[in-house]
Amino acid sequence: MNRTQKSAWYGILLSVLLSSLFLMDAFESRIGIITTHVIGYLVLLPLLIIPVYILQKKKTEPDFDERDKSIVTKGVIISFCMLAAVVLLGYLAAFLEIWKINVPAVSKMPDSSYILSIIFIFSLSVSVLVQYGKGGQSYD
Amino acid sequence: MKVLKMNRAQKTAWFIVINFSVAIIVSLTAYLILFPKFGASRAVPLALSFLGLCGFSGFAPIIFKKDPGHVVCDERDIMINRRAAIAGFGSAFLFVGLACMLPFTLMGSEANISVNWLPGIFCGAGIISSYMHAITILVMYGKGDDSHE
Repeated sequence: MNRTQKSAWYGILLSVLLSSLFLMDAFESRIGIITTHVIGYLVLLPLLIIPVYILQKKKTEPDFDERDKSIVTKGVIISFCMLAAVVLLGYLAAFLEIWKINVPAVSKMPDSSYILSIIFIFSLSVSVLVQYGKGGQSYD
Repeated sequence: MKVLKMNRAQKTAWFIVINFSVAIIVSLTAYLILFPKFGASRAVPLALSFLGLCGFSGFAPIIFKKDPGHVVCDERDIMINRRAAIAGFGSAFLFVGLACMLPFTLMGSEANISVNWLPGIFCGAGIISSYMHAITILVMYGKGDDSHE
C-alpha cells in the first residue's frame, strides 16, 4: 500500500472512532459525563500518535504522482456529492416532517456540521480505496 | 480589434456568473423596495423568490451547444473543471458550516429555529457552489485569451 491508501484506511478508522465518540456523547446522560470523556480521550490520544509512525514517508516509497492526484481529486468530488445528498435528504426529511423535529434546537446545529465532517472523511477514504482497487494495484 | 476567443466551458461560466449576479441584484433591490411597505417578514420571502432567476443557468448547455468540428475538452479542461468543482463544493460546505455555527453563537444554545430555514440553507449552498464553480473556471482559464478554441 502507498501513503494515500494508508491515509484512506486511517480516515476510515478516524471516522468510525469519531462517530462512536459522538454516539457516546449522545448517551452521556445514561452512562455519565466523566466516563464518556475519559473513554473519549483514551481513544483520541492513540489516534494522534499512531499515524505519525504509520504514515511516515519511507525512502523507497514513490512520490505522490499524477494518478494519485487524480484519484484524490475524484474522491473529494465524490465525497462532496455524498455530503450534498445527505444534507438534502436530512433537510427535506425535517421540512416535510418525515423526521419529527418541528423546531430544531440551535444547540443541535453544530452537531450536524460535525456529522457532515465525519461523513466527508469516511466517503473520501472509501472512494480512494475503491479507486485504487482493493490495495493490490499500488506502487509498492 | 482584439477578439476574445472562449471555449464552451468559459461561455457557460460567464453565462452563469452574469445570470446569478443579476438574480442577486434583483433580489436585493426587491428587498429594499418591499421592506418599507410590508416589513421584513413578508419582504424576505418575496425578495428571495427572485433568486429563482438563477434557474435560467440550466439553459446554458442548450444555448452553448457542443461544436462537432472541434475537440470538446482535453485533459486541461477536465482538470480545471474538477478543481472548480472542488472550490464550489468547498465554499458550499463552508456556508453550511457557518449556517450551523452562527445561530448557535448569535442566538445562544437555548434558542430554536424554524425548519423553513433548512431548505433555504441548502438552496443557498447550491447557489454558492454554482457561483464559485463558474468564477473558479474563469479565473483558472485566465481572462479568456488563452483558451483552446
